[in-house]
Amino acid sequence: MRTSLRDTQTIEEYLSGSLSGTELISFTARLLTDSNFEMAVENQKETYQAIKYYGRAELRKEIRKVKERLFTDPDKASFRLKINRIFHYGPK
Amino acid sequence: MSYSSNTIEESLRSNREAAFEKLYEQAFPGVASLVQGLGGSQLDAEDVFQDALIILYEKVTEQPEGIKSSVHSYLLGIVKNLWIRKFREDRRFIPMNTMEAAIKIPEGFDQPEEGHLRLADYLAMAGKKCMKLLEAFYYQGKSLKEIAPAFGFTGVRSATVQKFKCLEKVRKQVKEKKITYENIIA
Repeated sequence: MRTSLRDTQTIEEYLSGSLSGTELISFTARLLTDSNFEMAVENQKETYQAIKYYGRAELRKEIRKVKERLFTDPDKASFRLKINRIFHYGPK
Repeated sequence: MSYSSNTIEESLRSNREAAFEKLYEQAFPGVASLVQGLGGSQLDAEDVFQDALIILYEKVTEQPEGIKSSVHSYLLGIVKNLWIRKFREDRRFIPMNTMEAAIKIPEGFDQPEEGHLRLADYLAMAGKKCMKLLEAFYYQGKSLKEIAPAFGFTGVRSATVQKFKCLEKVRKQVKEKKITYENIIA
């Protein structure tokens, strides 16, 4: 693996809390002296957050598709009726 | 027709679309009744239920030991918590049991959705294949061994290298986005 990829991997280990001992010490030292590295760590943290939001957006699309199907499929008429009743006549 | 928690958790991991369909059919009527009773519309019920499904999914993929109660009552608990947040409702009006009161809503469900979607779209442009790979590993919690064949990698080693390459690519986008942002503000 090239150096930059190894760095990326080490940053991941650091952010997930799995760095320890001398590795953690040298990582922390670099963090304090190398501002580019510090920024990379911050950006990588945001990267995981971005992946999560992307994952959520994809999942939401999937769930909406499921919903569309339930509200259009002729086989699911009784489900729709049930929901309809709740909002038009109140529960039970 | 009712599912034990174990199988639904299993199928959320292995075939989530089918699992969501089951959950929608079985658990949405209960949520709809609750929301209706709180004065919400069908659209409110759908919004909050869809968020709840996402939160349930994340709990299941993040904590393999799973949830202690039944999936249906857990979903109802999430909905109650979301409702309080969304409408800044007084907790006293929505009675909750200990299990429900202990549910933590993850970050990102307070802000309007568009902000996230824009970011997601932006990142999707950085490379669909990369995003899919990262999403499968970090969001769906799949192992590289599971992922490798679907993405055409010969093994875990090459999948690992590609995963970190993709991570760097997105990180670069994050950095560039920040720079653009600073320019706009300045």
